[in-house]
Amino acid sequence: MCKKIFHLLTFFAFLVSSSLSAQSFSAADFERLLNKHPMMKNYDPESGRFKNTPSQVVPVESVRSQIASAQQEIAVFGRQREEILSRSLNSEDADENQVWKELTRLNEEIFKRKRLLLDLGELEAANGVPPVSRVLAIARSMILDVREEFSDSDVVLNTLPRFFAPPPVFIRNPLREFFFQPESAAGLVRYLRETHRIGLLFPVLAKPILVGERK
Amino acid sequence: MPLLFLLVFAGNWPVRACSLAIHDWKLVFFVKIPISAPVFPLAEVNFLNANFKKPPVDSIYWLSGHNWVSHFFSGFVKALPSWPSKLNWSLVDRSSSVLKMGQDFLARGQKPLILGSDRNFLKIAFFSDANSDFNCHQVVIMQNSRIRGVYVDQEKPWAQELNGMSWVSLIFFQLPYPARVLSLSVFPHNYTRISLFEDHDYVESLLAQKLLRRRPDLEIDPFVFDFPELPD
Repeated sequence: MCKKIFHLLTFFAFLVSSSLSAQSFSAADFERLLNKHPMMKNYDPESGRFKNTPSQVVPVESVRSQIASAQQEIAVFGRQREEILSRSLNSEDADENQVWKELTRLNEEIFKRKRLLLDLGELEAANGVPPVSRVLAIARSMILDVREEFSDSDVVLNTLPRFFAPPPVFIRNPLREFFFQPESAAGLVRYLRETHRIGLLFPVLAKPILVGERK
Repeated sequence: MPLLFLLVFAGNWPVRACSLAIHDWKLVFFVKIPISAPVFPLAEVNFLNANFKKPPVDSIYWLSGHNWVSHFFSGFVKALPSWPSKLNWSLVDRSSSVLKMGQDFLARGQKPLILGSDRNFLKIAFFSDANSDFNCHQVVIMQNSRIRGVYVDQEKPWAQELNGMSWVSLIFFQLPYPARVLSLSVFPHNYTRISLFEDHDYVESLLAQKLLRRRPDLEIDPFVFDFPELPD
């Protein structure tokens, strides 16, 4: 009799715990979900960037022509500003509110172009390759979208994605210099010296990992 | 007054607006007072400094509804480190507008730099930190104005309008006396806030006693204010 009661208790103990864990765990194929994301249609495996987004690689000639056009616009707006101001300073019946409204609009246009010039200058210096932060911002938003599907779960079981594409092009990135410069033999020797540590990491990454969902 | 002296010397200090603690500020008290003229032209000095690399003239005409407070405190402008403070500031009562005054000067063949401050408000806010069980407090005194500037030059005239803002913030633990002050900061100096005083040892001791919550990272953006946006 005691044995039967023990079996019954054990059965309920397992039943309750399994139903609880079913509520808090879920499985995800992260790679499939990412591929399903609408932004993936814009992904360019060659450059590692998303087309028609600020992360896209722009030809340097195009950047230079945008710089020239922004500089020209600044000069035009500046001349307009000076004309309006000279006219209002020389006229007794200038509508002050209208003058300030127009001056503010022109100043804002000039300010916008100056900010654009700063970005374009950086882009030109980087040979048309926008900073990695632009890619990361898109990736972050995609990951948030994917995780949204599992917002009810405490823990998600997933596998890492495997893309058949070269890694993103990082400007002045030591990792890129490390792997993609054939003359960096010293770097390769250094890498080989560290394989025992790196080797410990990679097998783990090949297996499913548990990601705790933030509440 | 002590704040003004601190501000004078702080101009040459590096920006080290670093806070070791993270706060969850809750607004406890807020008042908005219309004032006829800014108490101190800190935003005006910053406005000129940002728009001109070097002084185009040697005197500035500052139009506003001036009173004894603005007259008194503007005497300390000269002590600020940037170039606009080194010029002669003539305080003009707001009987005409910035543009009209520019027209008058132009007719006389003069080309001064004219500043106008109107729509002036003083906002006083008191915040308490929920992360410290409301033991840590912050007092913010903010000054808002619409600043209009005109440089009356026949060849290259300049005019700009800006919603100017300047503030001073005092953070203290429980009571606002010197030994309990965590930090004192001012905005703007080159469009960033500057920390005039920070008692890191005191903050560390409060963090160790778990009376304050430690900030998870030490990267502080000097362009971000350490208090929520004040009501309009």
